[in-house]
Amino acid sequence: MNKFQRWLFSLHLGIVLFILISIYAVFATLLPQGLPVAYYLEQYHFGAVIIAFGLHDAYSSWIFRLFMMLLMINLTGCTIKLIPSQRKRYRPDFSPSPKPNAENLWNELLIFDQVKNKFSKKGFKWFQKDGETWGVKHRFGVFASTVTHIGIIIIVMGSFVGNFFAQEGFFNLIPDEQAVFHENNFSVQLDDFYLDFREDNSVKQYYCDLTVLRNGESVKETTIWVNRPMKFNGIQFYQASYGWASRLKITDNEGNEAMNRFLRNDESVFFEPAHLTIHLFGYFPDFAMGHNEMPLTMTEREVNPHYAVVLYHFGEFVDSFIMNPNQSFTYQGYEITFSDSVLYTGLIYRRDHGYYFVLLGCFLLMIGLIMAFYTYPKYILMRKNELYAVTRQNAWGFSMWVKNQLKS
Amino acid sequence: MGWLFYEELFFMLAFAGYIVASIAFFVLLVSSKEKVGKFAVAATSVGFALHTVAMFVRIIESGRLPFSNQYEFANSFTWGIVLCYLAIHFYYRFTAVGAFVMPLAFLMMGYASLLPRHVRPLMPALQSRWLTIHVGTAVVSYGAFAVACGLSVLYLLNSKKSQDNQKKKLLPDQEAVDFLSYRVAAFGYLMLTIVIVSGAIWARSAWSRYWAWDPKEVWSLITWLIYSVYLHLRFNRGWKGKPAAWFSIIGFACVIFTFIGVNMFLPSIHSYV
Ligand code: HEM
Repeated sequence: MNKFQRWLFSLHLGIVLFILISIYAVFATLLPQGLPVAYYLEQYHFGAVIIAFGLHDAYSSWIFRLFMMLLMINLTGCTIKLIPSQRKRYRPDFSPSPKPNAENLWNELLIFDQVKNKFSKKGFKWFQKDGETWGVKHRFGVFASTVTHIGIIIIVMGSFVGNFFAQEGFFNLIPDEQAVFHENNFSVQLDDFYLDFREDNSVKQYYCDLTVLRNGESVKETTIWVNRPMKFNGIQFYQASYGWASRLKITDNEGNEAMNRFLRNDESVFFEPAHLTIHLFGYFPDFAMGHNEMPLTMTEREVNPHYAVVLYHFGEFVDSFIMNPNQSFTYQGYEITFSDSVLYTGLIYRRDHGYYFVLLGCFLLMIGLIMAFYTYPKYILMRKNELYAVTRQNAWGFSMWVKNQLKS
Repeated sequence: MGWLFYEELFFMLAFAGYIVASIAFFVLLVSSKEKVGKFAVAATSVGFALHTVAMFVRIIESGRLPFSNQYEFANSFTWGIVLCYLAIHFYYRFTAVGAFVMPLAFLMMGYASLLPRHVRPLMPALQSRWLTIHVGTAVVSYGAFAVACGLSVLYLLNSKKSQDNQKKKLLPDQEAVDFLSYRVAAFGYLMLTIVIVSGAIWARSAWSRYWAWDPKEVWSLITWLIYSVYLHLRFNRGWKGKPAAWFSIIGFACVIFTFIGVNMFLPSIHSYV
């Protein structure tokens, strides 16, 4: 290996990268993420520096990707580099050597074969060569760091590739509406959406009854709630948000229906015949007037329903109303009402097969850590009148354990 | 009288127990009397028992584990610290370590006592069995890091003082303190890994993404990276003693910031814990 490779695959570089990534992440948490570039340039003295280092969108910036790529190269190289020596240490005839200053645990009262027996019972296997006798346990622990490191590599690569191919989106549905997934040839229909309340009228849970339709036929029916998504065709569907939609009806002075549709809170519609923009400021199921003259709702139960509506004519404010479902107002001969409020639900969907790789990586990572901290290789080395407890990971703890065993 | 009254009563008694224990541990450091040490450990144990009762009362009252807001978590965190300390004490007989761990427990409990303690029903995102694993391991992990930090402080102070014989007998051997702090931190690190992994699995079932770079997530990752550096330096570079002790203290500062600082200073979807 040349000098550059040695550096690229060194623990030294690994640690430098850990520290750089940590510092970068600290800065990133101090800044709001993902806003337009102009915002940072205006708000911060060092706006240009923030943009140059990609800190406004830290985790997809070139610099962060560079760090991660270097870390992967470094970790992969380092792990491969270590494998030969680990395989050597794994071989049954590998004989450990005590550190020069290791404490000799032998004493006169001990009997060689008894000691061997005692530790055999604790799972040690004994070997002998060139006047040395040694017992070993947890030999497979030599691969702890390799297992851990492979876990990390799978997590990082899996999440990166997974995110690259991930499919994600948001839609909201009023009961009986459908969202169509053309590419996958199915659609998701919301049959019902309802809230479960506690005694104090706070929301306990949100439920969606969903049906998946393929070529007009139901292929799956299920109820989802927060923490219980639906899975279909590799896509997960999540209950994410909700709101009210209310029926807007406009009738002309002969009683003909001129408009009949749902408006969501804070949604506007333009009514061509009267050049009128109708803005449903909000539906308040349990209406009250807040102290700053803003309408609000006490709970999500329909106890005292009211609508707040604002009218604009060619963009100019005309009037605003607060009314209940039985009331109406008239504008240029058109009668306008709101009624039949229903809850709609916001659903997030996401397909990300990287997740399964990440899970696998996490599993290896945890197994590797347990191997490194607990089932690390342990040796008891005996010569004539000498006994050493040898291990790389936990010299103090292991020799204390051996001492305790010898005492009894 | 309601459950809340009894919870508060036992909480306050436990708090008093921890204060007495902290003071006694300091007296122990100054006077080096073995009796004082025994008393300090007894006060800690009694405080811990009372604390456990307080936690049980709350569990009965709310019908779930006390894991779902800042008060409950600070309270559980304190419990985790004392639990880890007592485990270490009874296994290794390191009495004096209490002088550096109990003040942390007492400060954390003081912080808990300032927070609103109403029992609130769980919001939908928290209604998951992952809550138990995620926060349960966090309590143990943070407790272990606190003890590792206490051991490191002990190490640093101890290496400054000239040691008379009496003290030497009382304070554990420096090498043992150093090693133990490493072992405890390694355990905390394993637990922290489980916290992060279980959090990711939970986030995927609640929020659709297993990792969203939320500040709380990022700070727990930073903490994890710091301890990763610590473990590697120790294992591969033979880092020991003072520099390692400083590293473990910095790691614990990160733990505290992840727990308290992120809520105070950074906007986060983890706002309930
Ligand atoms: C966050 C990611 C990482 C984790 C969780 C991790 C974990 C571990 C663990 C658990 C061990 C065994 C050490 C012990 O028993 O105390 C280890 C060893 C080691 N790690 Fe890492 N590691 C990571 C990243 C890296 C990186 C980036 C490098 C740099 C190239 C690296 C280099 C090494 C080396 C050289 C060893 C010694 C292995 C041996 O002698 O068998 N690690 N690592």
